[in-house]
Amino acid sequence: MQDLNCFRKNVSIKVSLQDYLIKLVYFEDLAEDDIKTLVDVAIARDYQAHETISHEGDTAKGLWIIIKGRIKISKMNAEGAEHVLRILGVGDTFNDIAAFDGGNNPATAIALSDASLCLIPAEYLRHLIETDGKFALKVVLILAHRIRNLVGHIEDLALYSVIVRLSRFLLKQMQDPSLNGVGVTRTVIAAHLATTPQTISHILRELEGLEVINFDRHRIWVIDETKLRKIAML
Amino acid sequence: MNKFDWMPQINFQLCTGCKRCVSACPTHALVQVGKKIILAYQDCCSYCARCEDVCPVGAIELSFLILKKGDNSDVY
Repeated sequence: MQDLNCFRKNVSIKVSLQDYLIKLVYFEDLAEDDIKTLVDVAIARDYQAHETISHEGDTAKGLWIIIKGRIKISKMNAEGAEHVLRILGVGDTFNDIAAFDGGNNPATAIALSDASLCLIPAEYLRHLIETDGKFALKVVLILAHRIRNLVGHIEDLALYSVIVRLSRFLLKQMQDPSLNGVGVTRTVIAAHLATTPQTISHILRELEGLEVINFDRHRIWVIDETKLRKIAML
Repeated sequence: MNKFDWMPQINFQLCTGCKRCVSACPTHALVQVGKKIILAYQDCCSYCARCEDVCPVGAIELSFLILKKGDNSDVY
């Protein structure tokens, strides 16, 4: 059993990496020897809030796994306008596509909060695909799920108003505490929902007026989930 | 999660010291020190987000925690 502290001094996490990795969908069915190799090749890294983890267009190093903290995956245009594709939390992975197809990073990953990550080198993942049919099938299923999520995000942006998009976002965040917290600001929410922070504020106040949510300093309490679902058209 | 995490976060690299946030703050929690603005009186901050709204360079950010009514918020 190898502890993260054992192989990278700067990592402050105390969980066993092996125990952690086998709980992830990607690796839950791996043979014991493969898991041991996986732990050996894994590289742990700590990042501070706002630090860039990987840049769009750079050569992909492998698959990133979030052990602690929150990460945003975003695309930026030449004028600096940002669109946040995904907000990720503990147990999520990113850069999957580039890790498997050997291409460049399709988007930029930035820490929203202090974060601890684990990198599985692309070479080892490709070795697993070639030698373990079950693992290869898992990869196909996870990437298919990822495509469905992206299609859903495009659908939200193209077909629904901001109040519907924000209501869907609130429901998603409420259901997954790992996505929620420090770093999830109105600016980030606005960049994810393709609107402005001012519009987010305006709609949050509207939802408060409808007695769907209320504010308690940094907390947004969803007090009427049924009504919020109705507004979200779910 | 410490209390400071839930205060407005000011990015000193972006802050130009224009003082718009100082003027907008209804509880006078923000003050100018040198050429930068700091949250000097954390206990006064009401988390109204007016500072974030008026900042022309996006140097101030307030994080939110979205919870379902009845969830235990003590851990956050």
